[in-house]
Parts: sequence; structure tokens; C-alpha cells
Amino acid sequence: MKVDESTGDARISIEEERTLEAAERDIGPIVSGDWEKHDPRYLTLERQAGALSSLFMTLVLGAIATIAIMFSELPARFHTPLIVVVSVLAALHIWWKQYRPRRLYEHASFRVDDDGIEIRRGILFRSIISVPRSRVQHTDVSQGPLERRHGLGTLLIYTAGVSHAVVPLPGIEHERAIVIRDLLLPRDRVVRT
Amino acid sequence: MSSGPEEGPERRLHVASLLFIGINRMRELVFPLIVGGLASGGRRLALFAAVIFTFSLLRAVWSFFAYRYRYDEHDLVVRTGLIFRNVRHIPYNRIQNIDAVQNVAHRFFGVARVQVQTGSGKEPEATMNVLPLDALAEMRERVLVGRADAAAAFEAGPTLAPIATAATVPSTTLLHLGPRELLLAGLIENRGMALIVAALGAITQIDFLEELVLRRIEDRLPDWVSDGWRAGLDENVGAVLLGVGVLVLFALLFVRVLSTVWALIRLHDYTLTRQGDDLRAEYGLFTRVTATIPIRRIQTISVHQRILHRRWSRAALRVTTAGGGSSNADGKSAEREWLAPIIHVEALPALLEQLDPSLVLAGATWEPPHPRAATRMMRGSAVWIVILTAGAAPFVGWWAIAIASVLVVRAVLRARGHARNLGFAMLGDRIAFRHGWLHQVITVARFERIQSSMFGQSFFDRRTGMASVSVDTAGLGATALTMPYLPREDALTLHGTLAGAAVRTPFTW
Repeated sequence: MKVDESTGDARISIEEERTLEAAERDIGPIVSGDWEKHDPRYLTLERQAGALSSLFMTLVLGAIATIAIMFSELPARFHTPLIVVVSVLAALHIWWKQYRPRRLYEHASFRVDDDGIEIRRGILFRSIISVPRSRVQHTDVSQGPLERRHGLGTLLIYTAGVSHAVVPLPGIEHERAIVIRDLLLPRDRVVRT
Repeated sequence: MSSGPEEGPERRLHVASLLFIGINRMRELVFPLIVGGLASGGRRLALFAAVIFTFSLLRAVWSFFAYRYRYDEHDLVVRTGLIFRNVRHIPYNRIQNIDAVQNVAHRFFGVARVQVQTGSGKEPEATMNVLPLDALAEMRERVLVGRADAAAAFEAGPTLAPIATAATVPSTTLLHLGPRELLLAGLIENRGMALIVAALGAITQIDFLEELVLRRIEDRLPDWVSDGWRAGLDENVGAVLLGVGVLVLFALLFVRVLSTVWALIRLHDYTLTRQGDDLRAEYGLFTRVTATIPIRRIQTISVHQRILHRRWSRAALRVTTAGGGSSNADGKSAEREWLAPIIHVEALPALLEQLDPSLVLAGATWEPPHPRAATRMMRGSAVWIVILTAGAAPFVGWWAIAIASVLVVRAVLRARGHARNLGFAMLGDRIAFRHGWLHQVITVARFERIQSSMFGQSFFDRRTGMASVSVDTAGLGATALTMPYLPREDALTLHGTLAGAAVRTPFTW
């Protein structure tokens, strides 16, 4: 605990506060400072979401092909190539949506410490973005129906910046998202003595 | 949901919200209603209306029940959605505005539409449609109390940047541009192209004018040019290319003249003054613009130098300010405009000192990019040159080789020049980036303006052991706070330094 000489106020540092909170809630160390993998269920979640979008895509492609073959004056010799193209596109979509989550998961990790949060992500363009705690404006924890099934959530960190006004952290355990949220919110408080 | 000890009771919107949300939803659906009505020839209009009315009402009921908010110790918490759930925490000390709108209907029910805004983005962070007036009063009080605590904490923290605060400072003129300087500015800046595009748009509206202008151009060209033009591409490609070249040259000259005239009108009597902590720019012959820029809200400062600037020892200066919170029309026009459309390089340090007293650009040590940065850029251009040449070959034949060689020379010069000028520098507690070949730009941001820092590696970066580092500020339209083509290790170090610097400095507007 530091005492401010000019005002006589005592300031509890964030570390002290977190330790206190951790002790109160008995949830173990909140801040590890190490790189953390996303929840493995994130992989399943992404694949299921991908399967849904593949299903939709296949239906749309199938509908287009059906209309072109049965209800248009497309010459018969184009029918087979059309079916082939549509099947290949559908297969590619399915493959990409099942393959991408694995790569995404491999290259995604994050690190939370008292200074803020660092998030690694990307397949072709890989990035590490650092958001200091003091720059967090507000936060969202959101949960869609699929995420809820898996007990996952998405943390959205808002800054006053322009190109990275929102920094998303998807695919983490919902409870964990809340803990990180609480940690990141600017809460330096003054204890009057 | 985890219920911590500090959670207050949850509140809902006023029941009248059902009405107001319903009306909003219906407004969104008026257009489909009209279209649907027209499509069905008006016969099923009533049915459409009924369906849409029911739908709006259901959605209104849905949002009403899904929307809850509460006051935690430090944050305003807003919960929305039943299927896609979202919990938003807005710290009191981050809230900048609480706006309330009350129209006649609102007054009838004793409610108001409330918008809570922080410094992030342009959209309000929370819109409460609608709250009873006592709830609005409560919110204002809660936020005020929360903010007061935060302010106390803030005062205990490090002090702000050293900025002159004397309120009684008279206004001093920092820069005044006469016709001579404006002439130069117009020549250099070359905004004529935008005018040309606008003019062309207008001209092509009228066939008659198009005919007139094109024929005029054709009439005035020397015979051999128009002959070559008419002879077609097969017969005399050389003459056509020359003709096109002459035309382009004339067009460029014309554009420069236009740009100069435009600058003389737009920036007429440009005066930049300082009054206390505000800068005021006044300019314009027909439309007189007055823009106010609070110095403490400046996020980035950039010095631009085109090739002609350097030739005539001039520069142009631009600043970006935080745009999130303020919806000041003057501020916005100022962001698009230059702070100094043109300034002699010898006068530049004095002006910079007004913006940031301890900023010294001269003598900065610029860290260079990866030694192979120029090669990377050339390789990038090579792809374009091949595509362009291949595309042009069927039309111009062997002349494609001439085009290609010109492009290659340009690409080599550009890559070398750009790589030579690329760099970053630490200037006290600020970071500076520079880039550009013909148009060189230096952009400076104080550490406390850094919102986030990003280390990035593209596919090509990884193959060549390079990476880029960029920082984000609240300055709208800030130019390139990015350092590309750094050696990977250097980039990691820079990223760490910048992120660390942002951590150690307090957040300020």
C-alpha cells in the first residue's frame, strides 16, 4: 500500500487488490502473465459454426444448380460441368471451414497481466496486439447460443483508438472471460485514510 | 451468471419503452411495407401491415424484456439479448456524456431517451429507450459520484503533459499565408485532380458539352498528333503514344494551374492563431472557415514534404485530434484541413514547439528497416509490372517493352528511395515514424496517445524474417503510424517498448 504524500490518501495497487479478490473468491491466480491457449472447445465451436455455414452454402449452391438445370434454357452439355463446379465449390467450402479452425486455434493465444492484455491471432497475417489496461474504455462479454452450449464466451475490449477500436477475444471459457473483464476494467480506487 | 457481492439490483426500461421501441421498429419496416404494398397491387396492404405490426410489437416486447441495467460499484452494466447475450461494463470514469432527448410523446409519459457515451467509437455505448426521468436523474448522480472518485484517483497519479495554462494569454498569430505562399501551396498540393474529376462528372452529364470539349481538344492538337490518333493503333503506335504523352503533359499543367487557383480561393488569408490552449485557423475567400483545435486534444502531428516542398524548403503540417466524444462541426473540418498548408522549414520548429513544447525533430536518430526491404518492395512491384505489361501487350505490341522498362526504372527508384526514408525514432516520450518516397511524411505521437500496439507478420514477412509494428491512437484519419519491413527481432523489441510505454503513461485525451 502506497501513501500519497500530498493528499494523505492510501492507494491500493491493482496487484494487492487482485490478490485480495482471488483469496476471497478462491479462484486461484487470475494473472499468470504466461501465454494461454484458448479453450479447446473453441475448436469444436468453430467447426460446428463452420458446418452450419457450409450447410447453408451447399443449399444455396444446390438451389442455383437445380434452378439452372431444371428451370432455365441452359444447354444440356453444360449440366455436367455445372454439377462438377458446384460440387467442388461446396467441397472446398466444407474443407476450409473444417481445416481453418485448427490453424486458427494453433496460432491463437493470449496473455493477461497487470499491465493489460496481449492477444495473438491470425493464420496468414499473424499479429500480436497489446492493449494496456489504462486504455480500456469499456468491455462486453457476449455469448451466442452455440457458445452457450459449450460454456464459452467472447470478450470484446473497446479502446478509444480508431483502427482497433474493438479488440475481440473469442473462444474462452465464459467464467474466464468475466474474470479477465473484471481485471481489465479501470478501477484504480482511492482509499481515504 | 456469477453474482459478485457488489452487484446492485437490476433495472428495466420504462414500460412506455414498448411503445417507443415498437414505433422505431415499425419505422424500419415502413419501406418494406410500401414495397410489399406496391408489389401486391395494394390488395394485401392490410395483411402486410398487420404482419409487420405484429412483428414489430413482438420485437419490442423481446428487446424490452432482454434489456436490463444496473449500477455496480465502478461500472454501469447493461445486459442485452436473450439468445445472443451481451453484458457490457461501462466504467463511470469513462463516461463522457449522458444525453437525454425528450419529445412531446416522451413528455406525455414523463420519460426520456437516454444515450451514454464514452470515448470509444462514434455510436453511443448504451441507448436507453426510454427511461423515467427519476431514473435519468439517478444515472447522472451515480455517474457523477463514480467520476468524482476516479478524478481523485487521477489527481493522485502522474501529472499531465506540460502545456501552458495561462487563461489570459492574448491571441498570437502563429502563421499567416500571403498570396505568394498560397500560390506555392496550390502548385505543390495539386488538388486540381479532384476538381477535374468533379468537372468531368458534370461534363459527361451533357453530351453536347462532351462533344464540344473533345472537339476543341482535337482541333487544337498539332496535325501529326491528331493524325496519329485517327490512324489507329495498328499503324502508328509511336505517334499515338507521343500524342498521348503530350496530352497528359498538357492535362497535368492544366491541373496544376487549377489547383493553384483553387488554393488561392480556398485558403485565402490563411491565419493560424493561438489563444490560450486553443489553436484557431481562419481561411477562405468565399466561404470563410474558422476551425478551433484544442492543443490538449491533439493525438498525432505529421509533417508532409512533397518533392516540390523539399526543392523550395517548405513543408506542410497536419494534426489529428480525438474525434470520439466531440461532435463539433468545426473540429471535423479542421481534421481534414492542414494546420499549416505550407510553411518554411525554418519556421517549422517554432510552430511545432507551440503544439508540443519538448518536441524536436532535428537530429533524431532514425532506425532503418531490414536491409532487404527495398528488394521486397521491388519484388512486389515486379508482379504489377508483369501484369500491366502483359495486359498492354496485345494493344501496343513491342511498345510494351518500353512501358515495362519505364515502370521498372520507376519501381527501382521508388523502392530504394522509400527504403532509405523508412524509419522510426524515439523522441523523448514519443514515437515518430517516417515513410514515403516523393511524398515524405513524418508522424509523431506521444506515448500517452497510444491506445494499442500491434506486431504483425504477413506471409511474405515470415518468409523474409521481417515484421511490422503499428500503433493506434484516437486521432481520426491519422496517417500510417506503422513501421513495416523491420527485422523480426527489432520489431518484437519495438512492439514491447511501445506497449510498455503506453502502460507506463496515463490515459489522457
